[in-house]
Amino acid sequence: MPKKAKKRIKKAAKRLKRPPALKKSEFLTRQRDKGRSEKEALNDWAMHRVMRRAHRYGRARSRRTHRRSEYAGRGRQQRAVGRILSTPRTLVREEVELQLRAHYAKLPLQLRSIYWLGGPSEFTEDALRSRTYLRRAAAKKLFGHIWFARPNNAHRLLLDAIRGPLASADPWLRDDVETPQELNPSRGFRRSSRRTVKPSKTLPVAVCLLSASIRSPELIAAAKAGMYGFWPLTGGRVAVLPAPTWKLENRQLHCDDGPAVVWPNGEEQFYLRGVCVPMAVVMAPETLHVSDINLCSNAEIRRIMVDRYGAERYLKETGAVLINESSFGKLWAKPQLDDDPLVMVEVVNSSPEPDGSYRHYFLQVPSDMRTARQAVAGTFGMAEGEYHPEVQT
Amino acid sequence: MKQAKQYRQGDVLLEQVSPDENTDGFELVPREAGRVVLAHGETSGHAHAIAEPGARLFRNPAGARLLRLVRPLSLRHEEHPEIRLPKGTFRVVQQEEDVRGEYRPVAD
Repeated sequence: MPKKAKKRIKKAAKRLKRPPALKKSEFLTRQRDKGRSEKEALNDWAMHRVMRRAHRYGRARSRRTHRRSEYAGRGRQQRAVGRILSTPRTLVREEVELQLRAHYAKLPLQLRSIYWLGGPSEFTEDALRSRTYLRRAAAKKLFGHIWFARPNNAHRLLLDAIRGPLASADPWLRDDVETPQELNPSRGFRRSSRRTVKPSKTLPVAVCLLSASIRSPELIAAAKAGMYGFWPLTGGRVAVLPAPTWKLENRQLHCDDGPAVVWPNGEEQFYLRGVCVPMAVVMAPETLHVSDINLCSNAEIRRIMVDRYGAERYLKETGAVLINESSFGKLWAKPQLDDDPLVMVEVVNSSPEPDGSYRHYFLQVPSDMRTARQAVAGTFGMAEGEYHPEVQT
Repeated sequence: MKQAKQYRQGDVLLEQVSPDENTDGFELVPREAGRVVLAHGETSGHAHAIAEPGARLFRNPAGARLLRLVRPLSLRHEEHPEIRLPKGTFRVVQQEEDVRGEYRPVAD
């Protein structure tokens, strides 16, 4: 069957009812009964198969299955919760406490006292001592996702969670956080068993956050009254984190002359175009040194440091020489005393920023690189000739 | 010889391989909050991920990763335009930089 005809049939199939499942022999007999010749019947069979396939993978089918799936309404919920969390609010403590108590009244858990946090650093001190497991299946439905974090990552997890709704919809579940199979949201909830959780590495703290799966109107009301997140602790206590104040630019956390996020206890976080950076990068870029930039292990923060320091100044002060330039990037090398030269490839991000500019990154590559393409291919573990991305964004 | 198709989104490269690729020793990587996540950003909280059903990610103890798509799906990232991937099997490669002989993943 010609490609164009197949395409046309697929398109038409989306508007039609899915053809019934029939065996080939049965289908051919039916067609013969309708007076179709042998050749026509075989042609009809080919069309029948294409239409069934089109329905299987087409939009009509996927929409129907989506409505039945656990993902249904997820985007809408994420957007709703994200909108509340990313809107500046005035804290009304009484209202938050009232709503939390109303929420707990529905749970098979007790709420004895509410413990107010001033900022994320206060969370670790108290919560790390906590030994609470949420064992009831009902808790999952009412709280949303539950995470088990390693002690040293708990604070990081919280920070991710806090900036999560601002940065994007649901980014806070990371691979350094262990999600026991039983609690894996994509597999539904079953009673938690300790067998799949590694006790030595896993912190027994259930971290409950306002997440996409929350449907409780009380929690939404508490969020509107200024709550940012809450964590059940031992002895029926609940820690509540009030919302911080923040500055946005182009829908990203950004402030180039001060902290972008300030918590009620005075804790500050510095962001440039949505990237969390050390205070010195924002407040005192003149104190940065070339070695600070070279030693920075994160390519994104290093890019910002180079931007703040000045790309030209950086290359001049490192004494780098341009070795090769092509559509893949620029290859720079800096001779070093008693060591191999420091070789960097300067690459440009394919996707523009909201302001239309393009990000430039400097990536360190082995000193035997001779061309920019060879260097970029090497960063993906490939030889020069093997690297040929067809689609690049 | 026909070259394998490659798709690159920021610091993640996908190379289409044969559907019969040997998967001995590979284990299924569970979805994270309903998404198949290929790479997390370190500072921005962003991720290269596929949210729709029909994708499975496998990893072997050596760290090699294979992505299987049973139908065409979109790879999304908060800062990059989405890439429409065809049905098939892909090798997932994370960009790394060489810092004095030590490989360090590039994560935005």
